[in-house]
This record gives sequence, C-alpha cells and structure tokens, in this order.
Amino acid sequence: MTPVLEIQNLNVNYHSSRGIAHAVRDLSLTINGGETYGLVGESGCGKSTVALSIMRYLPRQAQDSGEIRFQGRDLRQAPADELRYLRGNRIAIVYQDPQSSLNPVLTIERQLSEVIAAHEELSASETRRRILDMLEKVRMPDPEYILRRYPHQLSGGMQQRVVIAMALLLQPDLVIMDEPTTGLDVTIEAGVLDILDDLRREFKMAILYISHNLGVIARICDRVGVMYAGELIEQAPVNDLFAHPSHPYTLGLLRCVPRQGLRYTNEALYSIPGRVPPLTMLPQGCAFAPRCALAESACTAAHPRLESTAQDHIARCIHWETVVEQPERVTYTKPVSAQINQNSKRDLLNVRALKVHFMQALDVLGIRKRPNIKVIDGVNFDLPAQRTLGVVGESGCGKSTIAKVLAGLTPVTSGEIEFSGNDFSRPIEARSGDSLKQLQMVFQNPDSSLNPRHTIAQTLSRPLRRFKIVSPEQEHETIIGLLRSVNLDESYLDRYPSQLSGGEKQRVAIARAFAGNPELVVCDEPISSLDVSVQAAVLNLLHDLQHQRQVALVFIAHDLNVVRYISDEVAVIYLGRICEIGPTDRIFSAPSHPYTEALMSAIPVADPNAEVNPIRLSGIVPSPANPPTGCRFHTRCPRKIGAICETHEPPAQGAGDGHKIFCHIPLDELRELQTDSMVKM
Amino acid sequence: MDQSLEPVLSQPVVTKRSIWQRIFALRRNLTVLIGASILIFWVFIAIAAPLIVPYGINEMASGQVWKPPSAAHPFGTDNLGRDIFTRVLIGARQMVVLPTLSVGLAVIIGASIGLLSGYRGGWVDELIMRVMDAMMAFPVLMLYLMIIAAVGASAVNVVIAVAVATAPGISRLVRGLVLDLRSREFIAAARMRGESTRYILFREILPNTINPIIVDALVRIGYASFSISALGFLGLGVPPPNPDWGGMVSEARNALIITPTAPLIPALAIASLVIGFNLVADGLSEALRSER
Repeated sequence: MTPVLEIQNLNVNYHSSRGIAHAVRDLSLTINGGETYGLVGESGCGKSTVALSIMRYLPRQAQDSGEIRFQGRDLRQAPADELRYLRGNRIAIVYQDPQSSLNPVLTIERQLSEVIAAHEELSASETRRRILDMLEKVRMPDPEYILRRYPHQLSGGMQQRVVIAMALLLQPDLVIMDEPTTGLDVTIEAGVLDILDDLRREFKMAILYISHNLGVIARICDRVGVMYAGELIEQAPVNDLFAHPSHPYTLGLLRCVPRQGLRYTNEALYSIPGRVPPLTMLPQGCAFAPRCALAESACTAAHPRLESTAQDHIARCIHWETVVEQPERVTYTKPVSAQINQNSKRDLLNVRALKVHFMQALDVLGIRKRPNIKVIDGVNFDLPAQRTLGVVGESGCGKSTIAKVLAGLTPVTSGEIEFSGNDFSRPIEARSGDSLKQLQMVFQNPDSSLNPRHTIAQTLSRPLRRFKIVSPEQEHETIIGLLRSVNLDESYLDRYPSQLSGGEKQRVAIARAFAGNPELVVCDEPISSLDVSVQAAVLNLLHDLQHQRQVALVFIAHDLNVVRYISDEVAVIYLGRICEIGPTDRIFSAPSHPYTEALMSAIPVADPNAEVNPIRLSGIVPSPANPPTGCRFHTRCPRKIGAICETHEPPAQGAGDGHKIFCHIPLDELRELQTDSMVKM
Repeated sequence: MDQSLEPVLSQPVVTKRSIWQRIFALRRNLTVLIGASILIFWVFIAIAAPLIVPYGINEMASGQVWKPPSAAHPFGTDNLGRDIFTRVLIGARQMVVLPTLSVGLAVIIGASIGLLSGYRGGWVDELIMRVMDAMMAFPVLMLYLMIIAAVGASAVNVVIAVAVATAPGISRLVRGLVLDLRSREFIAAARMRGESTRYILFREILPNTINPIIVDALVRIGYASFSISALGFLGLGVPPPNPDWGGMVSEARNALIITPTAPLIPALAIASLVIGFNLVADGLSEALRSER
C-alpha cells in the first residue's frame, strides 16, 4: 500500500538579508492512511514550514528541494491547477487561529457550501444536508442555527469546530493540523480533542498533527516525530517515545512538563538550558550539542545520523543507548528561607468584597443603557507575607483583572484592598512612592513588557533610581547582580529587547520587578507565552528569587500544574467570583468544587496511557455583563443538583485548614462523587 | 540538575545592525539611490550656488528680455533680462531651507499635540482631535491664503503657514502610534514605578514613534516644497525680488513659446525636489520597518 504522504529529503531555506535560514533540513517521513502523525518541537524548529511545503504555500523567498509525495504524486512537480484540485478536496489544513481562517462577512453556511461548490457539483439541498451532517459530527449544538451565524457570533471553540468541519467536508485523505487547539482554553481544548479523536477513527484519514504540547500529542497521535532546529531528531510510535525517549532533547521536553502533583517543596523543575540556535547560524555537528548534558567532542565533530534504536524507532544521537539513563529526578534542597516562610503568619494583603465593574459606553445616540460588565464581583482573600497565592480559571473569568487591580492599573469599583497596612484600593497615581516600591508586577507578554528602545541596562537601572535602592556608584554592580540572579551575564547590558528571545526577555522583566526589593510581586501569566523548555527554567528562577528575597507572589495562570507547583494557596475563580480557595494540597484532592474538578480533568496528560477522564464542560463562560443567578457555574455544572443552584448563591463550606468550597452539594457527597471518577495524584 | 548547575546564559546573538548600517545598506536600493542623488545634488547647489553663478540675481542685461538659451545665458533670460540659470541656482537655497524648517516646526507642534492627546485620551483627546479635524477639513491652500492674508507675505510667515497647515496631519499620525503604545506593558511598568507623565511621554513613548515620524516628515517636506512653490506662484510666497521657483514659473508662464526654458526649468526643479524626498522616504520606511 502506498502511504498517503511520503516526504523524502525535504530541505527548505529562507533567503533574507541576514543570510540563509535553514528552516527544514533533510526531513523524511511517511504517514499511512488512518494514521495520526504528531510533529513536536519548540517554536522556531521548522514544524509549520513543513506544513506550508506540503500545501505548497511557501513564501517567495523560500526555496525547497526533495520530494513530497501525496499518494505517490510529487506535489513539488504538480502544476497549479492540480494543486488547486487537491487543496481542500484531498488535502486540508486547519490553522491555529480560527478567526483568521474564517471570512468575517460570510455566514457559516455560505463558507461551508463554497468548499463543496469549488470541488463538486451538488444540488443546494444535498449540499446543505452534507454540511448539517458534518456539523453534527463535530458535535455542534443546533447546526441549523449555526448555519445562519457569522464567525464573530461564535466562541473560539465553536469557530475551530467549524474550521475542522470545513476541512473534513470533502473527506480528504490527508489533514494537516497546525496547533489547532493552542489558542483555546483547556476546557474547550479537551472538547475539541475528543471530537478529533472520534473523527480520525471514523474517517480513516491520515493526519499530520503539529503541536508543541506533549500532552495533546500523547492523547491523539499514533506516531510522533520530534523536530529540532529544522531536523527530525527522533521518531517513534507514541508509547515507545514516551517510555523510551532516545534523544536528549525529547527526554528534556518530556521532563520539562510539570507533572501532576509536583510541588516546589519537593523538587525543582527540569529545564533545557539555552535556546534553539538561530537557523542562519547552525552549529557544526549536532545542533542540540550546545544545550545537551551528554555532549562531548564527537557530538560537535560530525553531524549525527538517524540511527535505528528499536523497531520503528529512530533517533539522531550517538548516545541514544544511554539517554534514558540520565538521572531523572531533580533533587532540590529547600532554601532556609523556604522554611521560615512556612511559619509566617502576618498577612501582607487583605482583599475584601472586591468589585470591579466596567461601565459600557452608551451606544451612539446615548439612548440605550447597557449593563455594567461585572468582571470581579465580590472577591475575598488574604495573603501572608512571603507566601504564594495561585489564581486559576478560564479566560474571561477575571484573573488578569485581579492582577491589574492590585497593581492599581484598573480602578476599584468597591471593596477594600489592604496591603501591609496601606489602603491600596486607590489608583496608582494616588499611591505613595514607598508603597509603589513594595508591589511590582511581571507581565504576560514578554514582547511588550520591555521598551524596545531601552537597553537592558537602562531598563534595569530605572527602578533602582526611582526607588533609590543603591547609590549611583553601586548601580552598575547592582544591575549585573540582578542579571546574574536571573541567569544572564553582563553581555546583555547593552542589548536591546529585539535581540533577546522570549524567555530572556521575561527574565529581564522578572529582574526589573525584583529590582526595587518589593514585598509582593504580581505575576500575570508570566510563562504562558514561552516554550515548555523555557517555562520550567523561568518558573524555577522566579521561585528561587522569591525565596532569596522573601517576597510574596500572586501567581496568575491558566495552567493548573504550574499553579500547583509554585503556590502555597490556590484560588479557583469563575466569572468574577472565587468558587474554591485554600491550601494547594487541599484544592487538588477531594472534595473539590465541580469547576475545579472539570479544570483538572481537562488537562492533557503527557502520557499516552493516562486514563482519560470524561468530565467535560459544555458551553462557554457566560457573559459577565449578565451573569447567571444563584451559583454562577450552574449553566455548565456537570454536578448540578437542582433548582437551588439557579436561585441561591452557594454557601461557603469550610473543609478545614482554611479550605473553602462555594457549592450547594454537601462536602461528604462531593468527596464520594469525586473519589470515584477523579484520578487522584 | 541542581539550580546552581544551570549555566549562566551567554549566547551569541543575531547582531543588531545600527541605523547607519541599515541606511548605508540602502545604497543598493535603486529608488533610494536616485532620490538621494537628487537631494544631495540640490543641497550641494544650495551651498555652492554663490560660487557657481555667473551673474547677480537681480542683474539685468539691457535689451536681453526673454532671450532663449545661449552661451551667456544657459537657460535664457526672464522678463527683466535677468539670468534664469542664476536665479534657479540661488532659488535652490530657500527651497532647501524653507520646507525643511516648516516641517521641522510642524513635527514639534504636531508630535507634542499627538502625544498629549493620545496618552491622555478622554475628553482632552476628543477636543484636540476635533480641532485638528476642523483644520484638516480646510483646503490647504485656503488655509495658507488666510494665514498669509492675516500676517503678510514673508519667508518667516510662509514657514509658519506651512507648519500650521502640516501639524494636524502629524498629530493624527503620532496619536495613532501613541494609542497603540500606551496599552503596552512597559508603560504599565513605568506607571507602577510612579513615573511622571512627562517621563512616560518623552522617554518611554516618543522614542518608539521616531521612525514613522521621520519617514512621514520626509514625505511632508516634499509636499511642503510643493506648497511653498504654489504660494510663490500665487504671489504669496517669499516676496520679490528674491528668486522663488514658484514665482518664476508664474512670471514666465506667458513666455512658454518664446523662451520655454524660463517656466520649464524652475518647474522641473520643483518636481525633482518633491520626487527626491518621496523616493528617499519610501526606501527609508522599508529600512526602518525591518528593524523590529
């Protein structure tokens, strides 16, 4: 049987003023019918370029060589009209951002029927039937209704389902999925992955699944290829790859993912040092050698070849036999300060009945009043000095607003924020210089958190001067000290942010936040835009700095494992309200709020043999302009008990140790329900 | 791996080319090459004109009115028998200086207004921008006429008129840039340090707007040369007897048949200057864009 896709010795080079970037080097892979092939790697490893070359969508400055055979036919030689026939019909692609894949001015029906019209002649009613059929297959609720909608009227998860339906409409033989769930919330992602998993079984097509998320790959793929710096460095069946990784890079990627149950009190996270080399300046020999713990002179001398390590398992490493023997566990000696802070009882931050409502602008004529958006609607929590409070929830639940309110960047509507005895409910301009210094922030987006026109030295010197931390003579030394504390050396002083990678920028941003010796640092999704290998390093560093400098953290993230790792206490927030708060270990063991339970079961686990927990949330987060009555979660709650959930606000049920669950279900009952279904870690 | 074992990062980076290296690299770009050659040519003429010209600007050769080109007068003579070659060359001086000055002034006014308006937002922004809209709604020439009619024709007043008419466009550009920049996280970081509005505007925001401002200003200098010539043509520019290209075209337009060089040469000079500025602006915008 000829494989559906067969790529042989593919090379893709981009020509630019900086030289030639070798985006894909000598890549060969085959995908058979009915098989899902996963392609993983950090950003900048050439994954998406592979997808573009298969679709023949490479930009003009790209040059490629090799063979890309689709059902035996070399796509590189195919004339334009043949490609037009194949695309959408036999080969389909799903991109990361559904919003840019859909035309905003056409209805869903129009867009889907265009796909059919372009390739087949079907009557209007037949077309419609096919579309409705496909929308049902992607589990779209009420397909008839969806057909009349425009893309902006659908949520991100729904849009992505439409795009997937569009790709599968003509039952192609090959579907390329380029990070199709990366932009979605975990709860939505879990739903989309369920659908994909079913569809690939049903349609028996070949799928090339590109992702940086090993959890997703483990969940959905049959075989996996790992790419590094444009090369395939390992390829194996999914179980084999996770059980016996034979390339240090694969092993590193696997270990970088914070495992469930990992806490800072036990061990530090594994991280791969350094970063992907620029594709214009690839090192001689093994491209991974500069970052590899096993590297020796033989690695840099000759370029390693792909070696067969087991059946169907190949790896590009001369040390493949000893890779797995690397010490796995990272033993971590707890800093002395870590012990001290366990006893700290002084509250640094008290938040009471906090509300943040955004007034919506009146419409053009000022006639209709629109309701306020209740982003934060009555939140209470305390944070002892030197401890870490993790805040988790889906997007749109108000996590980031909590960060901005604490920072004083967003005005408080009502409620109290007391921070080491000062009133912090006032906006930033009304805070004294001294209290400004005590609370600093690390932002989400490394690209926008540093001024592109300031050198790193300028960026770090400013807080030192503003807050008069050191005398001008010591300034230079202090800046170098700060850089060292985030594992960067002096060579960074005169660089501009554009010369730094995302992880390096975030290190500088962390150094800036700690420069003024604050008492509290608010971190708003500080690692979510970084690659996994870098995430672990930045998280370790943040945690170390926190303990050395005895700082409290408010750590906001959507990744439960990350929050669990770093936090002493966790608040789970939904639609502007806390639904569960307490010590980390308590939060992650039964009884839990049904929302927390659903969040936990949605996380894709980087283990192909993990049991898939079937708890899935339906629908999306309702609009905070018009939140549901009673318990805000009742519209999506899989454990809703009845009318009481809709009419009465749930009481706080104390589960001991300051652990509070806001739910109508008695705790004993919750515990019983959950021990049955939850995989406890 | 123990934390202390994590190596301090020290990686060779893709070197960042300085702005001068970037500009120098433009020499291979034909558009820029042509534009820059034209501009350099006129700047050279403006500086060296007094050394080159054979006559005084107001020196009249008697009985030599509307003479076609000859060895003595390469571009012919005008209605008063003055040498057109001399007057075009000396005229280059004000055409290089005045547009640059007026746009320079316009950038200072427009950028300040745009910075303030964009950063403050709310009703301040609303008020300022409606006033700017009102000014932009006027035909530019009308605006000039009103200003010149009010303050009288002189070199300084031409500069003021052009600056006033140009500033609203620049303020709009800068405001748009500021609206984007002020929502960036480094501005939030500056606010969290308690920086003053002045520091945020001039140290954090302004440096990030410089590149587009420069490109935009170059295009505007081209247009300003055009406007100043138009004012000269209408007799509202720099008053005679100073050689003004626009004025020269106006005086000589009836002699197009007898002495075609008299109106054509100054007209070509104006056109070349405008094109030169535009070509350079085009190339530069490309070079600056690739910086990020």
